Amino acid sequence: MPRVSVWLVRASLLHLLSGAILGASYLAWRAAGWLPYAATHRPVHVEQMLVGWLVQLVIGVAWWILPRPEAGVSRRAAALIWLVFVLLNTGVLLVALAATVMPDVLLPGGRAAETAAVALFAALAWNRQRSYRATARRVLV
Amino acid sequence: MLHLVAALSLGLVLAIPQLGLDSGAWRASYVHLLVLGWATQMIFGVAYWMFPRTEPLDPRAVPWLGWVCFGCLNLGVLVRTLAEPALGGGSVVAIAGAVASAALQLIAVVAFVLIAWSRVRAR
Repeated sequence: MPRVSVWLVRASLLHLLSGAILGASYLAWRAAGWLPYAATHRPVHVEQMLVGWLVQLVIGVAWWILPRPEAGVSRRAAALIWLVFVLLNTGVLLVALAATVMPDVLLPGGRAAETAAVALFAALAWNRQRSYRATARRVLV
Repeated sequence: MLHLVAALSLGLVLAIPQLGLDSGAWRASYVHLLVLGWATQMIFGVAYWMFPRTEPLDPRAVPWLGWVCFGCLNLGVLVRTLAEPALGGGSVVAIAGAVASAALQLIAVVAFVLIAWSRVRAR
């Protein structure tokens, strides 16, 4: 597994753990009134579970298992995927912070970072999706 | 797959107001059946299968932890699905069920993170 995938997947696991703690706290607060801090942290739970965990895990695993170019992954792509990692996690953290402080500034900033991260990932992964037929033709020629 | 069928069936019932189910109360159960019972459990299962293994005969491998994750996740989602919509009534059984399901789901996630962490490594 490429090192950047290790970082992406492990970061996604941390978001899963943190998001699950917040989710369990929120359910305990709704049911029994325990852990009242959780009442204001539902948006953080949703953000961590959907973007921090799910999207980041998919990006990390995709970068690992999608077919590589015959010439190998370029240095530029290998550097830019680290930017995806930084932008995505910065975005999730900013959106999470926006649940408690400066929502007018942090929320758009966080969403912009997340959007830039997934757009960059889409561009980097675009040419790594090929049909079996195209691959077989190259092998035969 | 069972969670997916259950979630979409619940979604169908909630989409028909004449059936009388309170969509506000059942919405969280529907969402969590879908994203936790199906999507997350599917990810857990596939990751357990395809992440690089530490076996064979690796003393760090803890096979029972996978079953703890499976049992707690499914029991947690099932109890939550039944308990959460009943919270509005203030029943002690519903409150205890919701709190227990929160703990079970959290245990399942902790178990998965423990399993996956050491299996995610650079080549």
